[in-house]
Amino acid sequence: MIRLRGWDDVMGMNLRNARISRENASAAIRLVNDKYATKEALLSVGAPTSPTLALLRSRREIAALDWDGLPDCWALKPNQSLGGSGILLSFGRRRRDWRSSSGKKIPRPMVADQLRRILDGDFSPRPNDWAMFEPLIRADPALALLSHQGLPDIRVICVGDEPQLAMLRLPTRFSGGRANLHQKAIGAAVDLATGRITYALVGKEPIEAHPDTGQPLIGATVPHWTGVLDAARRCAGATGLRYLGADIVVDADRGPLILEVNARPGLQIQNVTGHGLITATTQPRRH
Amino acid sequence: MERGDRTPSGDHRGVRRKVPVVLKVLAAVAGVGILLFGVLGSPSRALSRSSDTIGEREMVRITGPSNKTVEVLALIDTGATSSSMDTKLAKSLGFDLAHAPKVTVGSSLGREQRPVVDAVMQLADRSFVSKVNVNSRAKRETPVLLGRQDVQGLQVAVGKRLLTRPDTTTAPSALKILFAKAPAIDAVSLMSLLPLAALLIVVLRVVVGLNTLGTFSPVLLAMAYAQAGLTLGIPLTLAMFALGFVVQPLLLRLHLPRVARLGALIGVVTTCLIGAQLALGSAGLSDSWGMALPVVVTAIIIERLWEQWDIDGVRAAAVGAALTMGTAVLVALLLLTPYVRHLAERVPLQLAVVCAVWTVLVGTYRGLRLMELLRFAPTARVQDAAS
Repeated sequence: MIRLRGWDDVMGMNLRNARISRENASAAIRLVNDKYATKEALLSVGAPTSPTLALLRSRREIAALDWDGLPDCWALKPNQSLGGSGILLSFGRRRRDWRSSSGKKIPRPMVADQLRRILDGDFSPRPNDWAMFEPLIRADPALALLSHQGLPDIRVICVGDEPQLAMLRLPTRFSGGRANLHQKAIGAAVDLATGRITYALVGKEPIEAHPDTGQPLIGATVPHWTGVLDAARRCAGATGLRYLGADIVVDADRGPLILEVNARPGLQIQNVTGHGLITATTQPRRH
Repeated sequence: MERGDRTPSGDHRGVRRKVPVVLKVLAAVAGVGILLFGVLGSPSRALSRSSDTIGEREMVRITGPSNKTVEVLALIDTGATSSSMDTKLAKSLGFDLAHAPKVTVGSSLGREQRPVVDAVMQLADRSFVSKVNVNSRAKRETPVLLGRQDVQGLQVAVGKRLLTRPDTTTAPSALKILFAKAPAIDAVSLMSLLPLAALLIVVLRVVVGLNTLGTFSPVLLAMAYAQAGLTLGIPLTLAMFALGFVVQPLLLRLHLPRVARLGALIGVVTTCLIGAQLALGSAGLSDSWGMALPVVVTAIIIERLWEQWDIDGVRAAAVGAALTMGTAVLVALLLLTPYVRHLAERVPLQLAVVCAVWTVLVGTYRGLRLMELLRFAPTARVQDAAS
């Protein structure tokens, strides 16, 4: 006898899409596709997120940019990019130039070129886009210890204000510093009540420790866990989404920060946590 | 799924819902199986109401003096009196051209002396011996032209192609059409089959879960394959993919915006198609080359392929390209299946309506896609163990 009961709770793409189109208003989806507007909405309800240092909407604004007013460390992002593409990071200033995480020089023309590519929509689903500078986020030491380069983040699936499932995404050498699971970043199930990592996967392989650093993962705890959950709880109210995936990072100085809010969160979290999304999202747990 | 499920009693309802999910999956597997079986095992069907109707292009079987037989595409030209055949083809069939009687033929090119041979022909279940004059048709679309002396008693349906086979008056099989040299199915018939192609794409995406590069790009590729045949279409597609991968890094280095990059890709793809056609035109493929690739779609596929390679690596990109081309071949097979063509000829309106209704029905499927059975197997195992 084939055992099929395990499938009952597994949500597929078809059901997810139907649920999103039923529960998430299109105005709210439009809002979260615009990262700048999302951050403004989050800040207006007092949710923690990274402020915008400069917003560039046209080539004229690139020419008028106050270069010396930029801090030493910053993140340059497209406003509407997908999958974290088009991001340029500065880890410090060196006279007129900046330098990357590996210490390579980032001269001004290179930044200007990246700005132009962002405005031309090279990294966005639309033909043009805006670019924004944010203060560089440095991962909390406890999370940086679990990771290899890059910025680990926590994906929390919420139904309304209530977190339902959470996973920690840790970049690996193979994922090139990105926290995208299909690029072989680590996905680690995080227990909602305690913030402890209970299970971890790379691709389809369960692992006990980080493959690059050997650091044990199972049993480690996400720092500021209650703060992370508090931040996740504020996303629905700020954006108007009813079913969402909040991406939250823990900064070394500023604590939990909402990086972005997804109206169409992926389904891979089911494999990472071993929990199907159907029960979690149709009979939301209350805390 | 409805509001009631949010109450604790929804748990029991959830238990009762379990069996239908399994049934849906089995139904999906069965559906895809039946589709493949239907496409490959379709019964022959006559496409026209009367058995003496043929299209503008038909497959004809020619037997030469050495008893060698070939099946080639013939242009049915009622404006010409006699039939003619390509020199290379005549030689390969064993005709002795040097000692053949000569005849003076007047054509748009002027008057010229051509050898005449007696060839045994078979067309739409009729056998006859034809006096065929021989000249070079390398730059023409088809290697054989049949004049009105050889199609007496037959009616030519203008705008239709490949309605019959040499030995019967029913349509050739999909595979045969796709592997014929320069088959060129008429655009009108293909148009009436578009809703069916769209339905197949929806089934493959929503029920099977195949993700191709671009949602409906396989349909456009499939129409191209149906026009030009797989022997020309597939190598051309692959060559253009390769070309795109040579050109794309150069375009990226110029820091062009995406729209300009796509425009340039279209230009390069077209240039190479025309260049290759001019260089190889003597191979007798001329007419179908333009049809062989939908240029704009190919450029967009190349762009997507490049992006996928960049982000997800070589393997994902190769899988994406293979899936796109595989889907295109499957769609082409379906469109050219004799029974499907029969339906499109006889009841085009009803076929379109039925396909549209089924597309909506398939779109309401909320269950797991077949591919997700692989993807989420770990979750199901964990939950199984827990329950």
